[in-house]
Amino acid sequence: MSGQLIEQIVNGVILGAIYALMGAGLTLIYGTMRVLNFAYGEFYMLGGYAFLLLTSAAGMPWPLALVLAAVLVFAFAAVTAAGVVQPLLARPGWDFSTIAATLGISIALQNAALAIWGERFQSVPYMVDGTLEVAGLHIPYQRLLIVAAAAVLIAGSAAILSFTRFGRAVRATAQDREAARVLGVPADRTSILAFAFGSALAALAGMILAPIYAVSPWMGVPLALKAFAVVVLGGLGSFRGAVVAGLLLGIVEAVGVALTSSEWREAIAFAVLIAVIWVRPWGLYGVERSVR
Amino acid sequence: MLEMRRVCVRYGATQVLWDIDLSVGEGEVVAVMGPNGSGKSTIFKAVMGLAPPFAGAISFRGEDITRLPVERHVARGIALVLERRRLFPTMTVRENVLMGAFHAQAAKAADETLRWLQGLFPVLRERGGQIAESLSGGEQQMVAIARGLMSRPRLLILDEPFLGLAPKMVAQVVDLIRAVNAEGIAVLFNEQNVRTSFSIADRGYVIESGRNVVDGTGLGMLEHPDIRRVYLGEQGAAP
Repeated sequence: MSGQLIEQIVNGVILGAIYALMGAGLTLIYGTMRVLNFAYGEFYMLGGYAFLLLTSAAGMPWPLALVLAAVLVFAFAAVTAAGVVQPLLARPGWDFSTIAATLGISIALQNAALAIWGERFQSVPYMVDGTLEVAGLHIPYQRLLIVAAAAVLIAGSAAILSFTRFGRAVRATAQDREAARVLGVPADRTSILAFAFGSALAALAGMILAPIYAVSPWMGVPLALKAFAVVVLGGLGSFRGAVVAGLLLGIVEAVGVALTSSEWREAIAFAVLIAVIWVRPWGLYGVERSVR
Repeated sequence: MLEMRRVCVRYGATQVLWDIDLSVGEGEVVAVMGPNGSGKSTIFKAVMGLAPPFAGAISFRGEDITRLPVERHVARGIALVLERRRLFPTMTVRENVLMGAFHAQAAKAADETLRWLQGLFPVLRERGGQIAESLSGGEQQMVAIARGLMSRPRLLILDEPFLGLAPKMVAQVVDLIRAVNAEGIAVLFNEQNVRTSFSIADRGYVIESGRNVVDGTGLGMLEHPDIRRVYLGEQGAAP
């Protein structure tokens, strides 16, 4: 029993790492643009397909495919942000319509994927083979790779936010857009790049998970839902909050499933969300005053 | 240096500025006075591109800036300190001030500028590592002005610099504006109190309901009948 529990905690950390990565990308977009990006799961999906096509159809080695697919999704997301989201935000009173617009993009991308690649669930080979055997636990290296990749991506993003000129522009725009513009920060361009950056993180999550879950037009839906839960749980717009909330949610979910059964997975995850929001409506790392 | 000619601004369908004329010379300190809601802040927003005029023209050092996007003003030498300080709440004092040097040219000189400002603003040394929102209102105003100066502007615009400050802090900010101006930087600010304004300003403009009423130099302006009517609330006392 206790061995099984440890295994579930390990699984929870793996799951949590993905939730944290997905949440981090989404909160970055919300923070700078104040837009709930309902097409977020589809950038995850596009990452999965881009990776699948580049590795299996084009025969590219997986590390190269990972980078190239991320760049492609980044570019596509930047065009989406600049062409659809930003023009809506620029019209006074139209900011709310970004919800309908991103929802529309989500549906369009799902159906485009269905039309182009079909409804078949396609699998991607493991990037690394073998299993780590330690203290009675069997952990496939692929799963360890997921955790390592997520950790590197999150730490890298945090470093970009803290130490680069782009990062300072993102944080300033997120905290006070008008004050940032007055100081010379090109807030619109910064938001578009943050949207693309966050979407690329989702795409990378889709790629490193592709060998475990299959690639399909709807693969992004459950993950996007979880990413929204993570962002709310962590505090809207808080990068650190999203990372902590993602890990927390992953572990609670995995342990909860071990103690009950897998049908309870979503119920447990969203019960945690509701319980936290009940006590702290602004989330774990959100700021009280931002609740209006 | 700054010239506004017949500037008109509206928010949606509501016009808030009518034919505003205003100028600031090199190294000058100019006050904009007038009751609450008279459009003082909007004048500054028009200059900075936050409220672009639909008619009229604004030029700065001979260049037309009427339609210049907000974020391009700082490179031309204009800095605006927004009403209510508007610091980035979860950044430290130091991070906030350094954001003032975001513009590429200012970034190059950031270290030198920061040393100069640390002499002028002790709060930058004493509280540099503190989160901005933990500071008092007066300290935040100091940091906000320092952040504006990080871009090495030729013209510093202060929107309601004394709002909500204790009298002692008002005196400190007044001293600071004098010190900044002594470095050759022109200052444009707004303030309801005429006496406070003229303790620093070379010239002043009185605005009422989005229109120029009167302008002039020094407290002598107070004797103008229009000022007494509009501003000091004397509704044309009975003869």
